[in-house]
Amino acid sequence: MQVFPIDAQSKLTFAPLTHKSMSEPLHASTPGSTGVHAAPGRVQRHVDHGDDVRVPHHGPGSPPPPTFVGKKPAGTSGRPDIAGPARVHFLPTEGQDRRGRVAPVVLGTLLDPRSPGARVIADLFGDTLIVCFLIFGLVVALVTTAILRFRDKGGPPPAQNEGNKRLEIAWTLAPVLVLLGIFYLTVRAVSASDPVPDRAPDLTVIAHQWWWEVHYKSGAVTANEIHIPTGTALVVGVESADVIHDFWVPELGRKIDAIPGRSASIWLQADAPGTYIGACAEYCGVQHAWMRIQVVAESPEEFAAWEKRTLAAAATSSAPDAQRGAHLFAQMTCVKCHAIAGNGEGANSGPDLTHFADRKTLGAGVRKNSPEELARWLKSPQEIKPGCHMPDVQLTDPQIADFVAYFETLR
Amino acid sequence: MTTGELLLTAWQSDVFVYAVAAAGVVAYAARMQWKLTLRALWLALAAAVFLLAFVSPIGVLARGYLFSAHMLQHLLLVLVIPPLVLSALRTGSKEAPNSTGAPGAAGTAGTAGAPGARRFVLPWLAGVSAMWLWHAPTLCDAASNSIGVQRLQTVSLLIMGCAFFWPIVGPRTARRLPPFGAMVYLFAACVACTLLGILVTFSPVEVCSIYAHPVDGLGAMPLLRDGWGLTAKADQEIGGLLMWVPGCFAYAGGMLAMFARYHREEAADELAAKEAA
Amino acid sequence: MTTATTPHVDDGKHEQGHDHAEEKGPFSWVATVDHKRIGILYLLTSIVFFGIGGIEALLIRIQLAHPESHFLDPETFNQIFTMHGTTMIFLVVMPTLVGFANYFVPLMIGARDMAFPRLNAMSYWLFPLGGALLHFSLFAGGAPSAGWFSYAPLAETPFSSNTGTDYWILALLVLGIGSVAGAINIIATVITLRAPGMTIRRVPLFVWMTFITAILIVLALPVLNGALVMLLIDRQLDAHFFQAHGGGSVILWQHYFWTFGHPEVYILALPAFGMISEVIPVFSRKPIFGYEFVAGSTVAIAVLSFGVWAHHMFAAGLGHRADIAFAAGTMLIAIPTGVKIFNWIATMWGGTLRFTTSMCFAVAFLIEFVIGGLSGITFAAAPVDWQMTDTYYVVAHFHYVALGGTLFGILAATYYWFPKMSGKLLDERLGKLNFWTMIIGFNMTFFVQHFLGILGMPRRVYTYPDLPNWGTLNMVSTIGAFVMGFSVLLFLVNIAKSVRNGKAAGDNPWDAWTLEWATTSPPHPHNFEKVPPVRGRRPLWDLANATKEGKNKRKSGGTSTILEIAPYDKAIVGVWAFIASEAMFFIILILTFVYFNLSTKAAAASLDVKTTGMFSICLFASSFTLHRSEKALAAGNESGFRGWLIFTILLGAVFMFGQASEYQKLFTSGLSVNTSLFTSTFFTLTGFHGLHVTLGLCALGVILWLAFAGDFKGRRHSSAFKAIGLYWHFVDIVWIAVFGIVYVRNVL
Repeated sequence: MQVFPIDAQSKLTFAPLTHKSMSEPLHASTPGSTGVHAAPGRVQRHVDHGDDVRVPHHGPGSPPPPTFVGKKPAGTSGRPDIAGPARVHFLPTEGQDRRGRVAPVVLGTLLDPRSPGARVIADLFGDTLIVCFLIFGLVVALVTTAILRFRDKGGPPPAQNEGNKRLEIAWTLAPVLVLLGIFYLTVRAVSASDPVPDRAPDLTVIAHQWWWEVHYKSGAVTANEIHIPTGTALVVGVESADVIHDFWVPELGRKIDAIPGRSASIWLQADAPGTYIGACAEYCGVQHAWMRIQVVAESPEEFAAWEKRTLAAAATSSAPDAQRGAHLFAQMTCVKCHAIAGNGEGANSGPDLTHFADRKTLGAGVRKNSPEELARWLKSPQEIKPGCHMPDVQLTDPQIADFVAYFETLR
Repeated sequence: MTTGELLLTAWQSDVFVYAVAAAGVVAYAARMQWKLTLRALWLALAAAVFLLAFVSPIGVLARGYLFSAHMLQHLLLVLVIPPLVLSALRTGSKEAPNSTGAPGAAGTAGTAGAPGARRFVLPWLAGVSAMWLWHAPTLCDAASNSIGVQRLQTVSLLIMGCAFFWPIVGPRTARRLPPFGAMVYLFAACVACTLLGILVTFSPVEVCSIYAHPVDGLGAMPLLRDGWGLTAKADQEIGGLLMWVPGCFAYAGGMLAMFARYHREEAADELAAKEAA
Repeated sequence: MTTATTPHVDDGKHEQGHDHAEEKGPFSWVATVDHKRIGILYLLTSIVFFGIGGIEALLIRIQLAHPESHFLDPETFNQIFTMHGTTMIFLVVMPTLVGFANYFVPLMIGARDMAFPRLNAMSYWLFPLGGALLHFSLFAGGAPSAGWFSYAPLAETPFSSNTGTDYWILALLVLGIGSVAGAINIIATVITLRAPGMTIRRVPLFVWMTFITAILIVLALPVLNGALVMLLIDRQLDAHFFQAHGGGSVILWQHYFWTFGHPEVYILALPAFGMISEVIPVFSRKPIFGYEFVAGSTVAIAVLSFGVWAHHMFAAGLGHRADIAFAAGTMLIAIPTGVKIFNWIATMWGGTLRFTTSMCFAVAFLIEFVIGGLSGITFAAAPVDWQMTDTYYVVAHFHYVALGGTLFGILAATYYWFPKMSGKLLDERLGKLNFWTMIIGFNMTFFVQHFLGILGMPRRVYTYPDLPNWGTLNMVSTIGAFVMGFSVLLFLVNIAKSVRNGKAAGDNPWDAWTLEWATTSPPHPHNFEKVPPVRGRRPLWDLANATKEGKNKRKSGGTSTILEIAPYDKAIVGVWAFIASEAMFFIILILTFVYFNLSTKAAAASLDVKTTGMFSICLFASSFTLHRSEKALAAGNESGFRGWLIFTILLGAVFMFGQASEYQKLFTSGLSVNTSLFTSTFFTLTGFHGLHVTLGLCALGVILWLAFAGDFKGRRHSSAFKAIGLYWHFVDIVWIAVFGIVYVRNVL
């Protein structure tokens, strides 16, 4: 019996890994990515790309990237809409945050799609809902009529009608036809909303218990906040480092489970600039509630600038408190979990902090990223996000101040 | 090549297939003493499906191109053609159904170990093993490589399929399983074919190696691989899903038909008993 | 609840070897094997767990009423929602349905009790045991917190290190065994104990639905048990069935769980459908419309329910082909349910509707269940599921079908059957108040959750950010939950009040037609003084309308000489059902073995095929000797019977010795359960087979002992022996498969 060749040609299927040895070290999921080291104590995991990314099987002249079938976004001809500065959808303006809590986390809705894929799904949902409402209306009408018409008014007993074969056939066939219609729409929507990616991922998202690790093909590394250029369809690889998580940004498309030992890929595309909020959508432990994702869509130029910044090492500062903070970071146990490129050998059991100050939230969405919140976090992360893997490190207030100063320089 | 071109050009002629179909028709006609009844339409349909399974693009693609086409062919041979053939053979007389008043008749099917058990155990095994055996990789490969084995496979699938359906739609109504027994029989077969379907669908290993690297006499591979998106793995997956999903729908449909038969027979019995009373 | 004092009628039949004498005193409740008392025990215990689960629900809703609330810390919240789901499904809904089935199935078919009364009692007691095990976790380090479906690898030791998950597994194993035992009882009862004239075609639909549910339980629970066993082995013995880093498959847990899980939801729904099918006709004063179609569609649902499980896994990325295949199946399974809804409406149509509280709940069921069913249809369209699964939209969906469907069915059934069980009517005014508060509370709680899901709120979150409308909608839901809680209180007060001071009900307060109304309220200990003749689906209606019978051609006439009043032996039927459940269990273990070992051959080299082959021959020979023993008993040859039986036991013991020595050899060479996937699957599969052989040996040993005590004289109890023989043959056949797959094939 031949072992089936891993020809990397079909979409993800149920593929166990018995043919791989158990001691294979962790692979970087995209070429050239940095910061992926097997840290001590970190769970070794397999990544099997074999069956989920379809690459063209014949040589030169790869087919053009798939286009989404579905309605084009209104008012565009494919150009990104750079109407104004990138805004958070639905958000009151920045700073309107009432209690220093996490203001700018607005999850989108299925009914407000902002990408071609999400649009296809929203249309399918709408069509199905119409059918559902009609059927519901029919049932309510029938039941209400029966209740009103056939109430016991003290008359003679009713006709003891036992059945009607023709009626049975009719109300069996009618739903069949309706469902056939829905099935047809479903089949179309499956490939229209979620075409099989035809290349290796442009960025990979690795889900951890209660934060998101993000690696770009270019080598940029960040956490919890993803930047993408508008109007471009990107392939996102989704993996997990520990338990099952789920990557979901409702306005931008479907959700996909991040399953340890498997990798999946979906398309990510935003029609217009903005900040789109997502969440982990598979119960993954004590802090599943605070595993938010932010997808910041910006113009290609802004994105390129961001990527360039992110690829660079951490900024250095000459301010004494920032320097003390940098020093503390390298000396204390921080480096055992966090990486700051250019400051010690960091690990990745915790988010990469190289450009921490650029991000809008901390703690994967639990708090807004401001100096005050950061100070509170450093004082006691367990108070803000109980159960998360960062212990209370018992920092003194001066140490906290230095850290805050240092982190504020990490743009 | 486009799909349309494929559908138009991918037809083949096979003397063996014609011979089997002809033999079947002749045997049936002889059995029916050359009298043509409406029932013969079932046999005509069976013969048509049989020819379609081999002569049409299904047959062409099954011969070394697509595992899923091969599976579709098998499903037709085991699940579609035998019931049609047996329906054609039905004597049609209004014999009393199974429960002929003698309590023993209904009882034998239920008490295990009694002679009645053999009536359905062997046919069941025939039907289920027909599916399982021919998908063992060694046998599957053998059938792909040798025309003799392939012909043996075709005939054996037909015979074992007929054996399987004999207790369900066999011509002698008195020797059929009682309806609830038939439902259990079909359900058990559904479980067996589900297991096989699951294994084939999710298996990381190939079932039939020839389909991984087909010999492309027709020039159809680009259409199949790129146009239809059927990689070898996808192909095997679809093959497994075909066996599993439509296969089980067939068994489920059979079970519902048995249930309807139960109600029909009982209603008839009650009416008869009432008129006798 | 005391039974009425009636003269003990001796009708000469003690076929169950049990005298339904007067049972008095509280201890009699502990020792009872009377199906009616066991039914009431189930119901009362369920109410206790309903209270616990309900409080858990209220705690959840309080925590979620405000964004970023700190009422509960996350770990506590996660434990609470895990316990809430597990409790409601396994400790409330299933036992309640079984409780009603226990009470009413024998009555409705005109039987004196269930087929196996003592097995019935055991099934009941496994229920509080399971509940206690589950709740003991609270004292042993914390309740389970991995969710009611306990996905791997979150449920594995590295991520759930306290013993909560282990207690969860043990509790479900115990409850599963109890459920299967109860289901076997129902199957045997319905097949073998029907009154003369009660053909399968004439059984009340509640009986039919319960029968089909029992078949589903027999086939689905063992799948869960197999998966639970493997998870327990992962956790306690360090195996890696469901962990990626050991070569295992994380998603396999989901496949197994949902292969159980989807039939499970029909197990929860079908008996409620049966209840509705009883209530609506009675309060519409006409028979159920389309009986055959309601019955037949149930068969379709049962068969299809095993083929749609992966619609719970659309977001897991199984691939478009699989997603589309399962979407098709899911849409298909909606059709039989729709057929039922239409039939129920048609039953009401043209009838004379009496709106007792029972009927109110039944009619409400129609609307609420349809809402739940339709939101299910939206999920069948896989891309919609890709957005909506794991959000509050799905929470709304399943609460609509489980509460709006099953719970309302249960409430309808309670108001309908309480008079029969207690002899008193429930207060109608309080009942109507119960009804309206429930309608308001239920819809308030769950309808808004559809919107929350659409707005993007994921499920199983202990809190959420302050997004537009989220707080308001959650608050509405919480208020609704408290209204529901109040409604439940009204319900319980109604029951407590009416048991004491309710109006006397009489035998048949609703003028209903099925056999349970042909006896006193509550029924005699042995159920019927005299079972009325059964000539149709509505025996009491037929009796009352006897003069019209001649005119009505459709009425089923004839006497009880017709048809299969089945001469099946209940022991044989019972053991076949048991074999079916064990077959499913072994199928899961074998499937796991094959799946994980499709491409590896190396480890199999450590097996000694020849030695095991010889011991296997002993096992196969034991089937032959057992057959001879049966033959001897049938021929009246006592000593032959005992001799061959001894031989059988010896051969079986030799086999077990062989297996033990093989295990020992493997252990000494360093191979144990956790060494590799091959050894994990090997030891699990052969180990459980060995367990079954051992249990068989124990059973045969008991038979031998009874044989020496003279119990088998004159071929008495030969059917019991035959039944155990069938079990033994089954165990041997499993070994043929295991030996072939594990030893022979892997070495070839």
